[in-house]
Amino acid sequence: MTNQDTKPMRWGGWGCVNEMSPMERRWMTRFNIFALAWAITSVFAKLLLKEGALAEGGLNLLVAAIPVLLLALAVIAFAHFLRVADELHRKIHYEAMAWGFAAGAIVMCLGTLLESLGMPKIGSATALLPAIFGWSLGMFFVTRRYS
Amino acid sequence: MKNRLRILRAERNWSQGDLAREAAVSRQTINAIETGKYDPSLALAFTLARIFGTKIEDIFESGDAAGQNPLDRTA
Repeated sequence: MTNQDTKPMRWGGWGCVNEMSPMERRWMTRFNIFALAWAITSVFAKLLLKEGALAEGGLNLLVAAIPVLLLALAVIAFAHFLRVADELHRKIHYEAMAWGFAAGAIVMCLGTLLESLGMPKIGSATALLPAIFGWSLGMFFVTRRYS
Repeated sequence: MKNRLRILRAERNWSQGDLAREAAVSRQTINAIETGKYDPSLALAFTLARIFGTKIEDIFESGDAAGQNPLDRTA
């Protein structure tokens, strides 16, 4: 057994495990870029549309469409990543996504219940934050399980 | 599921990385299989059997009592 054999798998950042193949790394990099661009443009789009800084018309639609387009590209990149991923990596990501889905679903259900009790309305997009957090947490714990 | 992957690999003096390259999977996958934390897909099990020139059942063994079909167990 070589020293390399004892090197544990570790959580290597947003949705990544170390020792990815070049193809996995390529699609994960694209996903990271699109996801980051989506997050940044979403914030700016929300601010611009909320404050009415833009003239009414097609520009508003364009500003609203850009984050959606970037999110779609991120989803496509992630789907490609899953297609080329090593079978253990794919399993880790599926389980981590289940964590994310569970976290998002819990927050959405809880939010709906709290709204009926008079709490301020939370937007459906707000459930994305716990979903992303749950996904990241899932990546950490699931990767540890298989290390 | 128990397996003899580590033994077979040691007999050939291969590292996990060597076997991973041969099987076109990650080293982590080989490590997780050897430590019993992950059961490989049927396709990977066939690939490993081909690499070692043996049958799947010579590498992998059910965690249940030898030869016992889990479906035959009574409650």
